Amino acid sequence: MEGLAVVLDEKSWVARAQEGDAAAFEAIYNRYERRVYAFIYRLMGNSEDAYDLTQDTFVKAYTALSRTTPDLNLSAWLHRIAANACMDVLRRRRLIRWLPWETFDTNPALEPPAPDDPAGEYGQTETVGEVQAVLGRLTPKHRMALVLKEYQGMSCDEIGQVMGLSRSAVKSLLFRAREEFRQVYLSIYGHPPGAEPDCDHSEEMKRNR
Amino acid sequence: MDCKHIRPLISAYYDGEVNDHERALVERHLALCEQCRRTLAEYRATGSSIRALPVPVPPAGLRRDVWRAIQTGRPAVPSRRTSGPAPHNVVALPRTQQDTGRSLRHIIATSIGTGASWVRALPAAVLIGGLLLVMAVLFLRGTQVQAAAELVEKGPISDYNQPIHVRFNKQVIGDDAIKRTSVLRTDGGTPYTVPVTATFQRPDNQLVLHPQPAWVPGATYQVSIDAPRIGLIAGNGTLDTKPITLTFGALAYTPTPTNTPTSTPTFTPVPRPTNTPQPRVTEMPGPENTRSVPLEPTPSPALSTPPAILTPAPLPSTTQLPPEVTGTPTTPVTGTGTATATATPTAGATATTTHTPVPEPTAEPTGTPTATIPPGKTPAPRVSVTPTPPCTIMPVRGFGKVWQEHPDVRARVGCPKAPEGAITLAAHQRFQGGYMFWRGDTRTIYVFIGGPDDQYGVWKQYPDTWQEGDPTPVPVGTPPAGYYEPVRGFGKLWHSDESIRLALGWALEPEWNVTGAWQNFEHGQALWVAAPVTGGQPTIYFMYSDGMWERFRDTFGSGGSGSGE
Repeated sequence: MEGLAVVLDEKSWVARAQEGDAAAFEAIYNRYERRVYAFIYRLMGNSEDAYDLTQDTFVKAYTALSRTTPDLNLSAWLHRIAANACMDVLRRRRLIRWLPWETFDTNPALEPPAPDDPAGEYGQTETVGEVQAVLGRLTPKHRMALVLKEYQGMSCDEIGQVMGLSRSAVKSLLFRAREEFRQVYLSIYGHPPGAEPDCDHSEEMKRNR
Repeated sequence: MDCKHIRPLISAYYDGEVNDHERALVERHLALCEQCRRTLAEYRATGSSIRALPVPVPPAGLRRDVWRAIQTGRPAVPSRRTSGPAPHNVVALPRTQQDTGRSLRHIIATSIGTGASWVRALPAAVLIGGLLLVMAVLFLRGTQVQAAAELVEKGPISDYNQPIHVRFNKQVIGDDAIKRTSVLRTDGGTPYTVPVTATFQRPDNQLVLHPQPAWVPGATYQVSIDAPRIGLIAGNGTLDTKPITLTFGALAYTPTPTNTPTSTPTFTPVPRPTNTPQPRVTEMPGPENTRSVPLEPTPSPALSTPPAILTPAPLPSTTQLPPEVTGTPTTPVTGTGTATATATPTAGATATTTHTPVPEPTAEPTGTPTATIPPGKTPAPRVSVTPTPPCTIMPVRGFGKVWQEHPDVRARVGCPKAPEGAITLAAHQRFQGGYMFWRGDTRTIYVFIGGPDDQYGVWKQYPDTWQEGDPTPVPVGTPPAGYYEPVRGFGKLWHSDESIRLALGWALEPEWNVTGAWQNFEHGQALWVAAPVTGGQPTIYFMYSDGMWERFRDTFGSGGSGSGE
């Protein structure tokens, strides 16, 4: 869907918005509202934070847009503002967990699934609540990398722009994020993601120690 | 190479971020190692489980709060944090949210029952309160002169080809002045920012605002100056401690003759006889022509440029205004008129009619059977302050009630050009970000951009080109549970025009057949939509020729306005 015409279109919006054209900013908002909201929602895990931080993101973007260059990668830039806003909040709440995952207990209700995530089956073993609960227990940087890659569909280059990292740093971050995800998943649900819950995974548990 | 070293590469391999050498390495290892094959499967399962998470839908009020925060320069009051349970985002809005034409009283009444909808109704209440305050400020104008900045133009401003000058009484930093000054359109509902380019003239210490094509003659504009953030060249001070607003332009299209050669009584309406049709254009002064006689279905001028559909800008900017504006002295009204009669030979008596947009004889076929309602049913005017201008054709029933009760609507839309007509073949559909209405007799689709709670927005019309048997458009995605993808004519337009799709979002319900009524006015149209079968109220839309719509709940009788009974 994101054809060349759309990209050109976006460039002209950015140029006009940089000059203070409110209508152009409106167009940008229309295009990215849902995307940015969804990104923040998955990082923060609840709709209140998503509401407030999406608002912060676009207000910051509006004021900062005039200081950007014409070759701005709008998507990465908006995500970067959103990512910083989220990290600020998480930092303030001292929720950044520097401890290794093994020190946590196996209570999956640590961060309960959001009430507006209908817990449905996908023909897999994971439900929305389970996946969000696992995401919520990852270190924020790992969660951010995974959400940008898998949920927002970004390339490693784009993730690098969002998080201020080199491409190789993104690759290794994604590896560590996936490892943490599968290990947290295993610790909560007793089996790795994608496996049948009734399999014997004692060997898995051993391997991960 | 052992598993420990190959696993980072498996992750990169899964992402497609490996070179040929690494790819060969990984594939060779995977062929031999069952455990690493399982690792790859787990990475895949991780990815697909995250991708399968539903995409939450932003609450309807978010857009409004963003715009409000942008215009005030600070985030909106975080009412959500304290006011009640967090709204649900993924599921469809409750039915009460979709009743578009509710009055404030109705909003409050329905909201008391449920905590969540009370939270959502709050912005609407704040909004309306803000609107009243802005109106109060408009009436208070003319009492005080702002000291720190003032408009150079003291007379009425009617020609928007000329720049407008704002002079500062302190030596300000030019870049600051340019950056911190914006222009809002303030007539007819909620103020919203309009595009402007500004330059700064150092010798005169003044800002020159160059109007843009989007500026409409006859509208009222406000220069909003964020004085506390404009620095001074000498010292550390700022221009002022409070924001400054300066108003210019016309007030609600009330033509005030400024330079009339012949002296005629100002308050005497001169309705022209209906049997002597004469092109209205000949007597209209220059700029007014651009907005006169919108022959239906002429597209609204304000929306004729492509990006305009993406300017649902009536984004409730009103609510931020009260605190700033009320504490700020405003300048006297500098321009209340757009009509200057000097250049027009035929201007004489008609151009000096202050309150009466001169009605036109109704020569226009509407293409629909028209039903004239006996004048006896016309509700009496309830507003005594502003005399109701007599029109050759008076709007009646629901349209008449709104028109009589809302002087601003009346001033904006003018007199009817024809009696109202019924629309017997019509369809409509509500969306997250607006509303679509299909008029079967003219095969026209009207798109109203605006949230479910918004009482105004921008509208645009499109020909319905869909034919029975047209191929189904490629789906753009799967609508979240409780939402719908539009089909048929609505669907064709929605799929083919991304700007519409982005603005409207998913449909909140399937499309429904409906009946309606229609009336053409001098400066717009009025649409009445019967109560939908899904429940709700009959609704009246006034669609102004400047591209804005306003929505009213039809309170006429119990049966509604139009001929759609």
